[in-house]
Amino acid sequence: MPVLSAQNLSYSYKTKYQTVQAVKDVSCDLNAGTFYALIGKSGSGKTTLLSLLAGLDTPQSGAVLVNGQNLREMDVDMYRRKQASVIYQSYNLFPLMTVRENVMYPLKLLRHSDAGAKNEAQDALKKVGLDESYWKRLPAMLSGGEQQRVAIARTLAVHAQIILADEPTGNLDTENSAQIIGLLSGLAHEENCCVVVVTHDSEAAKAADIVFRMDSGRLKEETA
Amino acid sequence: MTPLRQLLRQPVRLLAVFLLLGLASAFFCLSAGVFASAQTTLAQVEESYVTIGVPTTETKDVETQYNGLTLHHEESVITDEMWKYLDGLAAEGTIIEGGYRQKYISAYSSSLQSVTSGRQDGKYVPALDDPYDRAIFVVRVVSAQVDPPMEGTDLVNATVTAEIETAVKLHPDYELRNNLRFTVSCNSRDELDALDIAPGKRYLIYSADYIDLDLELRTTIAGDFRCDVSDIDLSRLSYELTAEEMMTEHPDPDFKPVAKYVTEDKTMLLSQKMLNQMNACHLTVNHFNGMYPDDRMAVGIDGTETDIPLNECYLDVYMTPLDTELDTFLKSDEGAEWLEAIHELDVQYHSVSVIGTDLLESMYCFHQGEAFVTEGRSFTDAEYEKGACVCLISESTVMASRLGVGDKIDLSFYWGPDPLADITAPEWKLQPQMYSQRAGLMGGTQEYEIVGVYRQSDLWDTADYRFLPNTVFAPNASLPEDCYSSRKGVFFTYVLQNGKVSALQDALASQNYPTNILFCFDNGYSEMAEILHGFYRSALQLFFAACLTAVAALSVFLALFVNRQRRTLGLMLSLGSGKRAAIQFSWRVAALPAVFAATAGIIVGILTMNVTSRSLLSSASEVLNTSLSSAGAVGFGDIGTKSISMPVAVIAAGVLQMAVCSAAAYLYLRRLAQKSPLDLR
Ligand SMILES: Nc1ncnc2c1ncn2[C@@H]1O[C@H](COP(=O)(O)OP(=O)(O)O)[C@@H](O)[C@H]1O
Ligand SMILES: [Mg+2]
Repeated sequence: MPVLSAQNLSYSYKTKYQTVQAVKDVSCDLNAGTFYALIGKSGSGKTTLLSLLAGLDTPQSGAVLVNGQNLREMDVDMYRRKQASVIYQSYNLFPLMTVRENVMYPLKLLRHSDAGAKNEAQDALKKVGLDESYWKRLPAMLSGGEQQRVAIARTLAVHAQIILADEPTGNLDTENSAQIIGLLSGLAHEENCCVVVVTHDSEAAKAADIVFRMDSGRLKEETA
Repeated sequence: MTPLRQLLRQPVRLLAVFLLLGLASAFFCLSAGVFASAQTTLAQVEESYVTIGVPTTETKDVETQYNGLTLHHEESVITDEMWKYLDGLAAEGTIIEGGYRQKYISAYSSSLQSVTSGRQDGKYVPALDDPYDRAIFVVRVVSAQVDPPMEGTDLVNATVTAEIETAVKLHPDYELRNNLRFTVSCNSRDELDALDIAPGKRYLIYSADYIDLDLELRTTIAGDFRCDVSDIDLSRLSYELTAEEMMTEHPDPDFKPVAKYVTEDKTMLLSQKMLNQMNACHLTVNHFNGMYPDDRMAVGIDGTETDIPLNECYLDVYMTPLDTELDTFLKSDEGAEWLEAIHELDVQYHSVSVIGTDLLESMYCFHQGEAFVTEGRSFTDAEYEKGACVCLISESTVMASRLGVGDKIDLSFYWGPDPLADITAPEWKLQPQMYSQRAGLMGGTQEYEIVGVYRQSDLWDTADYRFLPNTVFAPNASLPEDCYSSRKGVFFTYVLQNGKVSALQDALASQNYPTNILFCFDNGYSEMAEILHGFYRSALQLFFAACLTAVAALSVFLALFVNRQRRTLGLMLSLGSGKRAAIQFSWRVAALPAVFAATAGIIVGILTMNVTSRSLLSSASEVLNTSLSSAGAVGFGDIGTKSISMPVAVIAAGVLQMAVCSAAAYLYLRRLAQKSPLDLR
C-alpha cells in the first residue's frame, strides 16, 4: 500500500478578480523508501500540490490518503507533527530559538521530556553533520546549507514517514545542494521515508527514483 | 522556550517597542490623570463652593397718617413685592438655588456651661450677658433712699447700697465685689413700705442685670490704653492732679477729674463716678410678678395668646427680709419659692441658644470664614435631611463645659415667658431666652452628639449676621416645631447657583429693583472657576492628543512588532502546534512589551501628573497663588492649594492601554492564524 496517495486532487485559488486552478485532477501513489522529484515551470502548481499533501491546505475535490486513510478524517495537527514534515526553501527555523531548540520543538509538541527531547535532537543534529558547536547558535548565525540541515535534523528527530521539501536547495550553491540532496535521498533509502522534493535542480532530479512533472496544474510521471 | 526568553533574544527590538509603547503609555496615563484631576477638581469646586446672597438689613423711614398725626417707622428697604420676586427666582432655581432659613430656640443642658463677656477677656459688655446676669444674694443694707416717683406709673424705686454677705447664685464667670448698689423696683408704695428697708437689715434679693462695675472700669481703662484687662493695676492710681490736668477739656462737661491712671507713656483722668466703680457691683431688682396688668396673657412664639396671665409666668420672689439663717429660711414654707428661684438660675446658667440650619455655609459668618469649624466637622447632607441630633458648639462653651467632639449632651428646649416681645425688641441679642421656672421646659429631652467645634473671629460682635458663643448649631429638622425665624441677619440667606451673581443683578435690574438688596459673596468662585475651566480645557486637549498618540503607537506596534510574529506563527502551524497554541505563544511574545510599557507608563504618569497639573493650572492663571489661596473658607482649603490628585485615573488609563494593546494583538494574530501557513511565510 502506498504511504501517501493523491486521488483526483483539485485546488483553485479564488481572489477577488479571478480564480486560478492551481492543481487539476492530480492522482499519484507515493511509496516508502522512494525519493521522488517534482519538477515543472514556475507557477505550474508544485507548491500547491505539496501543501495539499502536507495537509496545510484542503483540496476542493479529491482526497489525500495516508496509509490508506483519508486525511480529512484524521487529526491534521497530529499528521503534521508526527508523520509529515515540510522543508521550505527558506525560513524553516524559528529565528529566536537556538538550533537545538528548533529541533526539539516538534518533540516538545509530542510531549517528550526535556532531557529525552534534548538527546534525540542532538542525535539528529549529529546525523546531519552538525556537532555541538552549532547547537546553541541562533539560525541567523548559520549558513543557508546549515539551516537546511537543521530542518532535516528536525524531520529526523520526529522520525517522520513523509518528507515534503519545497525547493530545499533553491538558495544553495552546488556543493551544499549536493549535500542536502544526499541527506534527503539517504532519508528515503536508509530511513525508509517517502521523500518528495520540488526542485529546479537537474542534479537533484537525477538523484530521484521517480520524477513527476507538473504542467499547468496537471501531474505526469516522466519516463527516463 | 518562554515568550520572555524569546523577547530577550531581540533586545534592540524589544527596547524599541518598549520605548514606543512606553512613551505613548506614559503620555496617555499622564494626560488621563491630569484630565481626571481637572474634572474632579472642577466638580469638587462646584460642590464645595457656595455663593450666598445676604439680604440687606438697611431700613428706610416710612411716614403714615393716623388720626391726623404723622407717624414714622422704619421698614426694610426690601419690599414684600421684592421678596416675592426673589422667592420666585428661588423656586425656579436657575439663578437662586434656594432660600435658607435658620431657626432659633433656647435649650437647657446640665452638661453645658454658658460663657459671658464677664470672663476677663477685655470685652466686658454687661448688656450682652443677659440673661446670665441674673443672681441671688444675701445682703446687709448700708443705706437706702427712695427715688422720686415716676410719671404715669405706680412703680416705686429705691436706691440701696449694701454689703454682700453670700452670693447664693452668681454666674461662675463673675467675680464677687464687696460694695453693692442696687435699685429695687416695687409695683406699689405699699410693697416698698412692707420691705421696711433700713441700714443694718439683712435681705435675700433676686435680681437681674448683675454688673461688675470694677471690671467695667478696668475694661474702660484697658480700652483707652489698648492693653489687656489683666494688665490694669488699680493701685497705680494717683490722686495728685496738676492744675493743667484739672483744667483738661472733656467731651462730657460734667466730667470732673479727681484721679489719674498713669503708665510710662500715657495718662488717663478718672472722675469720682469712675472711682466709685472700684470693688463695686450693681444690680436691678424687679418685682415681675404683679408688674403686668392682670388681664395681660402670655403670648406664645407662634403669636397666639395663651390663657396664662403673664404675671404668673414669674415666681413671686424679688426681695425679702431675712431674719434667720439662709438654710432655715429656705426650708420654711416661705422659702419654697426661693428654692425654685435658685433652681431657675441654675437652669439659666446652663442654657444656650440653638440655631437650626439647613446649610451651615449659607450663613454669612461661616461662609466668609469669620466662623469656622476647628475640630470635628460640619453637618452632612444626610444629617440635614433626616434631622439627625448632632450639633456644633463654640470653642468657648466646649472649654467651659469640659466637653469635646464625640460627647453627647441632653438638650431640653424652652421658651421664655414673653418670647416675641423679647426677640423683636431692638436691643435683643442672640442669647437664650430668660428661663422661667413657672413656664418650665418643653417636654422631651433630646440627646445630641457634638460633631464639631467652631471658633469665631470676634466672640462678642453683635452685628445682625453674627451670633454669640453660647450658640449651638443643629440641623433644622432636628428642632421642635415652635421655633422663631425671620428674614433678617443670621436668620436668612439666599444660596445662589455658582457663577450667577451677575445674572441675579441683571434680573433685579430688569425689575427696576435696586441691585444691592442682596449682598453676594462667592468666596472667589468665579475667578477659581475661570482658572479651572482653562485648566480643564488644556487637560482635555492634552488627553485628546494622548489618545491620538496612543492609537498611532498601537498601529505601529501592530504593523512592526505583532506582524513580525507571522512567520513564527506560520511555522508553528505547519509543524502542527495547533492554532490555539500557536496564537497564544505569539500573543504572549507580543503582549509582554505592552504590559511592561503600560506599567512603566503608569509609574511615569503618577510621578509626573502633579507637576503637570500644577504647571497647567498656573499657565491657566497668572494670579494663581493669590486667587487659589484666598478661597480659605470652611473646608475649602484643599482645593486652594492644589488640584486633586487622581492616581486611580492614571492606573485605569494604563490598564486600559494594556488591555487594548493586548486585545488588538490577540485579534490581529487570530486573524493571521486563519490563513494558510504558506501565506504566512
Ligand atoms: N495564495 C495564492 N493566491 C492566489 N493565487 C495563488 C496563490 N498561490 C499560488 N497561486 C497561483 O497558483 C498557481 C500555482 O502556484 P504554485 O503552486 O505556487 O506554483 P509553483 O510552486 O509551481 O511555482 C500560480 O498561478 C500562482 O500564481
Ligand atoms: Mg513554488
